[in-house]
Amino acid sequence: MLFNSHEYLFLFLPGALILWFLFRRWGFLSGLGLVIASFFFYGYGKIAHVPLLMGSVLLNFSVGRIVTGLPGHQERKRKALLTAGIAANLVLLGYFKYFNFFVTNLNVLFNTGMEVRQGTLPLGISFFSFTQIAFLVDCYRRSAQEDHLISYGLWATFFPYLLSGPIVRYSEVMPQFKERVKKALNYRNLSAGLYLLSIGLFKKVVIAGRFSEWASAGFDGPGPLNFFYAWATSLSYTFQIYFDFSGYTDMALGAALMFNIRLPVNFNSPYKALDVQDFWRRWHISLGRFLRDYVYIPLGGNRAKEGRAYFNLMVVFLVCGLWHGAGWTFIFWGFLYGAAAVILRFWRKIGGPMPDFLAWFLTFNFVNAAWVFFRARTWEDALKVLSGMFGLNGFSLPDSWSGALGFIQVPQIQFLPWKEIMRGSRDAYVWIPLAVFVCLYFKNSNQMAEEFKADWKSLFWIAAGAYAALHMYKVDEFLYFNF
Amino acid sequence: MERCRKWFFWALGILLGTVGLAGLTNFIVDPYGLLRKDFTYQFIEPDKNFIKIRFITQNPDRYDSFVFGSSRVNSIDVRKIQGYKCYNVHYNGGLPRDHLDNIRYLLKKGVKIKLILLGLDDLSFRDDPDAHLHQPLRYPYPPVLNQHPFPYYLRYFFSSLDWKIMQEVLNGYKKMLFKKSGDHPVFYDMFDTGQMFSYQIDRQIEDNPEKHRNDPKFLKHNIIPRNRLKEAIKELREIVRLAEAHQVRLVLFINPLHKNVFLDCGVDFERYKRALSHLSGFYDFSGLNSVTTDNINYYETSHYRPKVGDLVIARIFNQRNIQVPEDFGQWVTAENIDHHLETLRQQVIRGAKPYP
Repeated sequence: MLFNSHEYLFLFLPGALILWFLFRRWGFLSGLGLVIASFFFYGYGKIAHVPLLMGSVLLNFSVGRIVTGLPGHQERKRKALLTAGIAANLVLLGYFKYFNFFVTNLNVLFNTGMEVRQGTLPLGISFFSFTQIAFLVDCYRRSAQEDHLISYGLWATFFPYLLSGPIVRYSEVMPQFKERVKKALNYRNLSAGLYLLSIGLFKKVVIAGRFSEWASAGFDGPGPLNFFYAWATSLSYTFQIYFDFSGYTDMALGAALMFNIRLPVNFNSPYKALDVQDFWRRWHISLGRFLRDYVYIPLGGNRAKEGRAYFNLMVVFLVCGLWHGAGWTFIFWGFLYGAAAVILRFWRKIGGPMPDFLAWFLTFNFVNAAWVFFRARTWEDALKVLSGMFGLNGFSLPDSWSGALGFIQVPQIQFLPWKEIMRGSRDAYVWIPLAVFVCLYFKNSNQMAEEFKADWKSLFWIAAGAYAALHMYKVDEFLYFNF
Repeated sequence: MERCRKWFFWALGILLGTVGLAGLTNFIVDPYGLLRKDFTYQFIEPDKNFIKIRFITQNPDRYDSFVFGSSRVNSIDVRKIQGYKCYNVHYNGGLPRDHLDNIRYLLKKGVKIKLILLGLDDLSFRDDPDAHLHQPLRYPYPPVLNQHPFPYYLRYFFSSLDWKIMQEVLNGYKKMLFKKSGDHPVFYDMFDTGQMFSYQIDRQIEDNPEKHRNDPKFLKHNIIPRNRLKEAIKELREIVRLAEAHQVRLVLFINPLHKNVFLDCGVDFERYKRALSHLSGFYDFSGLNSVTTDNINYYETSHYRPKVGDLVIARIFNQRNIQVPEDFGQWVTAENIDHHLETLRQQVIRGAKPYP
């Protein structure tokens, strides 16, 4: 079920809230009700993948329970079980997400005719697999323990974060479910949650929806793209993915808050970042944290020798790229960040100075260029946009400027009607500067929710949410549903 | 807490009030006609893709033959196809993938099909059927996509109308209230023939044919750069396979495209026809022939008129009581495709005016 659908907003969410608070006196019943609701949420539209989620929950619960139950002196057994549990999750993920990529590459390399797997990627598999891998590791480290299947199921499948995160830790959510006070109806949380949900809905439907039209027209339409159109295309996607994913996260955090559950913040104004490391501390924070704690640090992290630290950085970002999608463009996108992180570390080591504005400018443009590989379906699409951005397809200027600039007689510069230059994306030139301004100078939605006051000003965002709800005709999946 | 409680109910009121108001308005207006039994006062084109398939599945024994295609095949008058109980399933911008899904669904629902007449054109290999999933004018009947209709009804009724659509609907109501009845430009015969009749427009054309012939709207050209030839041919191959498997007589034909549309199609259209000829034989009514070069046979550059549809039927079903111009409608197969395409090229060289 999509967050930006009528059935979610006006039927499912109110129904789940009523169920939760109605049965709050009987902890077991309210928990069971919410688990069933979460499975319904997951299976809505595609019931075939529900057994997969059930199997994954049962498997991880069992492994986690055995690992925590084994005494300390059976360390080897515990480690073997943990390895088997992680491997099972990775096999599942590998089969559904990476099998076709692997087979396709084998076919190309060795000219074999292996058949690819038919069928769709189970929704949220990357998220619930990573979340539960983290649980197993925490069980092994004895920082998590769960003996009740319903409680575990409640944590593993809680619908606000089930499909697209944030990737939560057991220790930051489960204690909240168990607190008695959290089961009481809290109007402050209900209001702040609804407020955050409305902001997220507006970001997704109205803002990201608008940018998606321009990004799709440029990326998927016929090429080549002129300089301005190529920049409008790449920047449109840069803002589309931000407003789409952060909008989704706002809706997830808002819905969870209505249940009195505070989820970790996943975005913190990422386009204000001054370097790539800073960017990953602000963008998809829960994924960055997972990769740091469960990949980078176990590899040796910063404490390793310099060469090894560079290698670790590269591995982490390659995993990050691969996690996002089974394709070479995603891996290359990860590689770009890995290379940038290595260069940054080296730059810092030699003590290179950088004024803030220049640092921001370089970081933002790097992120924007890297998104081109992330969005493009093929290398050709990526190169089509990038060659336009670098001016390789010429600079088309509006024909109304030909009077003033007509003296420039260069074949790369031509004067065309504005409509032709922008191919129907003219409004992008108003929206893009506006989005830059909003991203750099406005408080982000989490800060707004933290400072929420129940006054008429905050009702403005409810009206914005209502406006968005009226424009949900075009039901678009969230971009991160594909990962 | 009391302040928050008040605020929460205010917020809920704003949300539910806004969406509820939109729902009530849409329920009364029913802009794309999903709940209508009578289309007399239908002011914008209804979602025929949805309504017609639902209607057929509700009446599975009423028809045994169907005309599929875009709005261009609306002019195929099913009453003139003899020996079959025929229904015109056309809808605005209908594409092969939608037809494939619809045919598959009708067969699954036990509709016995004897004949399918499938009208194709340049749009059949250019337009993206995925776009239809975002358009209330073309949204398919959800069970065709293995979906329950309920979420779509929610979306349909609780979303706001596009401003232009709202204006059209309001204008329609204004006309209905302040003008004489019987002056609707179009009549949607949704639950009998499936066709849309434009008697009033036809009368206006016949009253002054020369004015119509010289209307500047016929100077319009529209080059569409998109191309999904590979996918479209794959979908058509599946339709051919499905028809064979269910012993359905399938007749494919290329619509008589207006000369401008034909000239704008370019070499992609030839590739399309060539690929099509390897799937099945088909009638080709496009080209620069005596019908397509006369504006009187068209409403505008996109849609041909019913009398042209009658010629198409007469050619396909060999109706001898109607005189069909000899240059109109060729039977094309893999064997004669090269010769046929060369003939069309020669027609262009001989007859086409310089491209604007």
